[in-house]
Amino acid sequence: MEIKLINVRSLIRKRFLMMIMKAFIFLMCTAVFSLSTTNSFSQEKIVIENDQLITIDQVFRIIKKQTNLDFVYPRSIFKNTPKIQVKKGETKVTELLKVSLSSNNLSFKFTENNTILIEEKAQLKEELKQTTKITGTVMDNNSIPIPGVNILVKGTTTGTQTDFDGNYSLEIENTDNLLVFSYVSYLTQEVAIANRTIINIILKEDIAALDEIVIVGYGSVRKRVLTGSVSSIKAKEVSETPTPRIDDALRGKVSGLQITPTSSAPGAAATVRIRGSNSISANNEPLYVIDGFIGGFSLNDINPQDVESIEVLKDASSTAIYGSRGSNGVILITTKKGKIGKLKVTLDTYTGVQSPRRFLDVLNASQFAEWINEVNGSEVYENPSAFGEGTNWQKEIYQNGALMQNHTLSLSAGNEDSRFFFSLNGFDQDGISMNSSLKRYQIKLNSDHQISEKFKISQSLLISRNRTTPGYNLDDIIGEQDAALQIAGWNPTLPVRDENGDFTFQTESSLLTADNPVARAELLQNIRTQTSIIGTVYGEYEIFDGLKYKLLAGANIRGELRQNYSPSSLFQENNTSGTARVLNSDRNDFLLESTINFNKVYGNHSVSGLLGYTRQTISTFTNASEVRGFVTDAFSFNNLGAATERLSTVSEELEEGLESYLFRANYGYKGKYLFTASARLDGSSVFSKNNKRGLFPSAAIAWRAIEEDFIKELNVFDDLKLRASLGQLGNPGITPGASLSQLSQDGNNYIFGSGQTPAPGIAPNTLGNDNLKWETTTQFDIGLDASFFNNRLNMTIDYYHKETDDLLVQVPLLQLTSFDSALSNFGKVRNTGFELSLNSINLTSDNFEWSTNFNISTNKNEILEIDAPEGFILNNPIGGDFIGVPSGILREGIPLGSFYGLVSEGIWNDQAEIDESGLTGETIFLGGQRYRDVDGNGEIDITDDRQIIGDANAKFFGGMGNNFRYKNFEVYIYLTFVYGNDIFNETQSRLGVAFDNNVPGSYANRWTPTNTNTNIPASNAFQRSLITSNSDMIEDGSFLRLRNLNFAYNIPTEKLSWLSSAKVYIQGTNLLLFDNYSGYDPEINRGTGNLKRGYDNAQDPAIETYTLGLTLNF
Amino acid sequence: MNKISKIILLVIVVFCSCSEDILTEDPKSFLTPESFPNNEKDAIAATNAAYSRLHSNARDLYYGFVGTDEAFQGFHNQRAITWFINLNEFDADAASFWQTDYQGIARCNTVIDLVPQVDMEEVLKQRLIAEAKFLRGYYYFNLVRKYGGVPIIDGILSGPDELIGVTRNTEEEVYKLIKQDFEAAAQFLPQTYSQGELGRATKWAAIGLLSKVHMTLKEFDLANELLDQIINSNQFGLFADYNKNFGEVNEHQIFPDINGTLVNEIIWDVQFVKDERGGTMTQQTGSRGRQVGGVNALWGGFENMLPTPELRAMFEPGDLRFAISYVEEVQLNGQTEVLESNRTPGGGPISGKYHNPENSESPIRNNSGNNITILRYSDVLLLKAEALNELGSTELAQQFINLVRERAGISNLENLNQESMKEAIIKERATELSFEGHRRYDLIRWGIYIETMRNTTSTFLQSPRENIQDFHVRLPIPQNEIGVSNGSIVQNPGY
Repeated sequence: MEIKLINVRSLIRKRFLMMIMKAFIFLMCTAVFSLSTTNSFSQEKIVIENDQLITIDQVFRIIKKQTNLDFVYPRSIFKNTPKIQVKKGETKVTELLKVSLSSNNLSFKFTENNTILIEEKAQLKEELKQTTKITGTVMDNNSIPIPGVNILVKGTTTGTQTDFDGNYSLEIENTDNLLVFSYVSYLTQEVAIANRTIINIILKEDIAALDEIVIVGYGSVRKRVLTGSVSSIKAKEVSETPTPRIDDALRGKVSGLQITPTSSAPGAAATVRIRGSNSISANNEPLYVIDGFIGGFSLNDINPQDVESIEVLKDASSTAIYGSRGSNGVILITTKKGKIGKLKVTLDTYTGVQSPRRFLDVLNASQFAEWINEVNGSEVYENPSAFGEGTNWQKEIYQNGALMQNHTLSLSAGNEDSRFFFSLNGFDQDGISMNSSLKRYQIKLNSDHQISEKFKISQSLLISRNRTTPGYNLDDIIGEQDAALQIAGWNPTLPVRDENGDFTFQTESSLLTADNPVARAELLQNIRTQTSIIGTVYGEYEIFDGLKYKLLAGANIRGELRQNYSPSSLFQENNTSGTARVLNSDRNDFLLESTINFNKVYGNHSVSGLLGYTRQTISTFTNASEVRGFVTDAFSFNNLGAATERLSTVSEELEEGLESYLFRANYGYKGKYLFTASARLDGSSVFSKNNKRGLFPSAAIAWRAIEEDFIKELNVFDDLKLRASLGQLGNPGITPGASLSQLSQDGNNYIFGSGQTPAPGIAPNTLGNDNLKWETTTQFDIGLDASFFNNRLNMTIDYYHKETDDLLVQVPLLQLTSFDSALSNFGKVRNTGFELSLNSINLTSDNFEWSTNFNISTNKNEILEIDAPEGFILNNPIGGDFIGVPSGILREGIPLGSFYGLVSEGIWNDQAEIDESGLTGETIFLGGQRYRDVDGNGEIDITDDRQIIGDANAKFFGGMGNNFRYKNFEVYIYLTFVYGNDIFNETQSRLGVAFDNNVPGSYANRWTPTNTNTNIPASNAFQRSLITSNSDMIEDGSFLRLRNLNFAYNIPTEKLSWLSSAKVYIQGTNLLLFDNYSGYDPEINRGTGNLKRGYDNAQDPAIETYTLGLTLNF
Repeated sequence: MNKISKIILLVIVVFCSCSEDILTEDPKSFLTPESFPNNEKDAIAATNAAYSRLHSNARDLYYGFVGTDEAFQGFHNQRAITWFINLNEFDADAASFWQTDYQGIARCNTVIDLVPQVDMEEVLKQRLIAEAKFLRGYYYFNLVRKYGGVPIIDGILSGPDELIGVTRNTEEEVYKLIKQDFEAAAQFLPQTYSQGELGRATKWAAIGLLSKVHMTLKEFDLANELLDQIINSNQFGLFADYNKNFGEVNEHQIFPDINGTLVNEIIWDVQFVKDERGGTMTQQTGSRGRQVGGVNALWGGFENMLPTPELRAMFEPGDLRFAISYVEEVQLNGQTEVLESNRTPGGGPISGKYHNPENSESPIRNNSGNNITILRYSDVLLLKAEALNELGSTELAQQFINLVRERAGISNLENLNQESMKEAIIKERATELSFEGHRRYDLIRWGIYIETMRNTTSTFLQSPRENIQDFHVRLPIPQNEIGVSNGSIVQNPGY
């Protein structure tokens, strides 16, 4: 019997261990004797499922399971011994034990009686030797200690592990040796001891990270064997931008993902498109899943600092498991979990100031007065020049230096049995727009508990309350205000307050609000409060090795309250004495999932699979009241009963039930050829009678070429994988009741007699469709993942081809039916594109490090089929309610987002020009806008001379990040760019109408008989009746933006025992913008609808933000 | 085996615990057609819904007189004053009549087809069906006068596919249906209703509109007979005060005639009530006005219907109807304010028929309670005069037109020949019924619409005068119908 112990730290400890060892051997032997194993015991095979780093305990457990041996041994003997790297595949018991015990200097052998002898190797000799004690701490880039790092003296079997605090201590014989530090998903580092006794190490993350776990739908896989197209974004990148919303945080950071803000107002949603727009009228936003709970939550409720990773599922293979909801792509949000280790407390706090980037140029007061006089042909304003500059309403409403602050305190701790993560968040942002704000308070608790060896439970809970005051804009009860018109376009000749200190108002224009913008921003009360509880809990039981059953229950309960009051102090309420509105909604979303997971390796074959059944019910109840006529403004919206007049009371219940069956199978041969097949059978109550269930299948194949010898021998690649996938996905796009004919009283009541109450009338107001179904997207994807230069350069390229069929559209009906249209499935859209993402470590040394990530994507969109009586559909009327000239077109063969209108060719400068052209038409006069006679009939006609004048789709878009680290300093620079898209400057067309509002500043240089050398038409060319969509309203939307610039300093904390790391940073967001656009910002989208993409009907100026932040780890 | 049975057991437990059907939709906030109309209450609600399109159909009024010699469109909206002249198949206003009339027709068809099966009181059932027939006749009458022959939809459609290949019926066919509907309605409709039900179709409304159908078709003898029935019923008379026909406060009331007898002049009107179901006429007929007291809302309107100088010229001196038909100034806070539009040079005067000066509250926005009269007794008398004149009884006709003139405070006509009587009637219908939506139908029915417009002189009518074409007597069929029907519905000539 030979037992060898090396990793002893003191004699006392050694003796103690000796004692335990002896006990262990005794127990082991007795255990072994009691077993009836065969002679071939030593030859028995053991299957290892995954490449993994495990403890000796776990090795014994594996052997025990697969050979039916019952080992009995004290666990503590192997504490602080290095973990063992085991490779996936089959091995013999002998081999496994040899590998496992050798590094601990224990040896073993099988006796003829099938007993094991464990011998200590020359222990006495060791004790006499001269040893050196080396200690140190291992930390990551963020100075956070890493527990469990494996430390080995190179070429020997001597080693240890770091403890909870990342500290280690090791006795070695030869100080000439190298120490090898290794840990999962970090780059292995070799360090020369060089007579040092303290060696502190920073481990760098392995960006190739082939062993990195990637979260996928209903499970996770190692990146190495991933067959689908999935982009994974880690915590650090997510929290790089100081923002309350992850959609904002992800702008420009993921290939194939185009995120465009809809407003700079606090908490405003962005338009998110994964691989282009599939749909004309249905929702095109991706499906969000948080910790396994599907959809239905507001991104205002997710604190980016709680996020561990975000996975963007892009191809059919990865999204098909979400079936009828998967066609827009899926964004999986995984929140942080407790890690093994003692209590870790992190405080993350930042404060920022936001300012508007630029304003719209409008006429000043005297120019405005002159303009109005000219347009009206009379002296509306006497002596225009006396007005001077007047009021710049944009400057009054949009403030510089709006404050934003965020504080997150998180706690994490755990042992092998139980772990938790807990965080508290408070966020408070003032918008640049007067009186707009977002406040959020959150509690997050995630925990995992290993109840027994086979049974674990896990829970995640988020309680969040956020409150937004939209200020002037996004007045979601009254309806979205036309901010550009009502602020930039408001009458500049009036001051904010008159000589009595009262707010000014106007009554001349029916287009502008009566009250001035500041009065509205100050006096209108508008609050929107959301309270959410999102939680899941699951239990997982390992029925037998490789087969697990999981039952998950989740709930997402959201209450929303909107409160609005227009006080009688506003002129608009003069006659109505105050109007109050309250809306309440209660949304209950319950999910139950039952899944069976199988995972097993048979020699060269690895097989895994998933079967599942899920049910989800969502019900929303909404009620709203509007009353007016208050004796006093004191009640605001808090005493609706005090009003004298009830305007409206409504309530509505919407219910939706979903039932699904899930299936997925993976097969791998030698880790070289990988196959995945998945499907979801989805049933939903909102689907029509004849289409209650749909099947959404997919398949993928991948070839890890790097496993082939001939590729390895090229010595070019460190990894090379080719992937291809094909599948079908759905987009439900149908709201509850949409497939049913609906009868209602809406518009069907009538009055009889002198009664004031309508007599109820009931009639069908919408026509149902028994065949209504989801939109179906068929997507093909081919991709390549490669790594070069010792994994320092990683590349992913994808090409995709998507066709979306059965588009949900309102198909026009004969009005003879009494209906205008019915929701039907008709039409087809195609999206194709390339995506490239690169990660590289450009330079790395102890003191300096530079890494880059870059992504670029293209998407080409084309309408293949639409249903339109005339072959095209004109949409997106511009110019406000009275004009309504269509400005967009849908037609086969062109992309969604095509702008349509007349082609401007300057202005008519002299009469000779007009006479020479021989053209006729309303628009032809001196100083009039000159349009191209597209049909060549000699007449300029706003119907016949239109053509496609622009395209909202970008040629390419992407982003590039650079990280620099020098000693304790870090610099992060992120650039985003979009190229080749057009913007329809609807703001310009809205403001630029000769009515009562202020107009663009360029109009000061308008054509007059004395000012003929100009591009700006004469005032009479801006009459409402002449306003039409034209190419002058189209502008180039390309831009390059400095999205983030971050300087950080890691404060040395060696001398502060209570602090493990500290970082202070200053960050700028949206600091620089290179573009050709004349509006507030080229990166803008009004609303999230597909048809309005590329339209800028400005709400708020874009903002730039400076932030000062501090992160402390205790 | 043990393990497998464990799995099966677990799966079964979970699957069975939630076997409830969640895929069938059970809407709670709206009704579906399966069970409607089911009882008496439903039958009434379905019938009320058939009336509801009269509200959107109030735009008929626009068509009835804007762009004739009676009214023009001001410049407030800077829209061409050629509205209803410079039309094309894409014109949303021209299409809106088609849309709302067919919506009304579908609601009538629901009642006519389904109410007979409802278990309810028989008299009421017959009345509801008769109301629906009356309304269907009215909707088709509006359609045929605007578009010519239109497709007849006289039953509930099973779905949009039923109309594949649908074509337009002839005018004769449409008129045949209209006559049948009015005749059937006249048979079952009551002569009058209780106070709370006023506004429902009566027997007299059906007979009155039927007589108008006959007048349009130049079936003067049939019209004459029906008009006699109304006149001889002694249900109606002329208010001594012409103005009592207008203004919200006077609705549903009886007033003395010139002999002091309390009479009813309104035969049928479309009902509006402020806020709940408000109409737009107050605003449409208001001029933009000057700012009065810092508030432009009092008389400020959309200027969509302003009286022409031509209309002004038609009034004889001393005509008591002039003051309300051509309002030039208003009394405000004890002061006289002259109406002038700052948008429409030279414009300003308005028709006062839809304004409620006694109502201190501003009647602005698309929300006035003023009813729109479809048929009143003076119209019947003028039709009677016209029918008699056409039948050669000019002498007899004189007595009916003079009843109307007498109330207007202007002299009786005497010794006119048939031709001059016809001219007198043409003028009298304009001055008596201005802004009530009859002028264009009348001019077209007399065959003088185009000629009349070409003979106008005011600057406000310059564009229609110069641009009017012979085909403008009909509206274009909406392009949607031609496109969706794949051309089986044919456009009117000229468009």
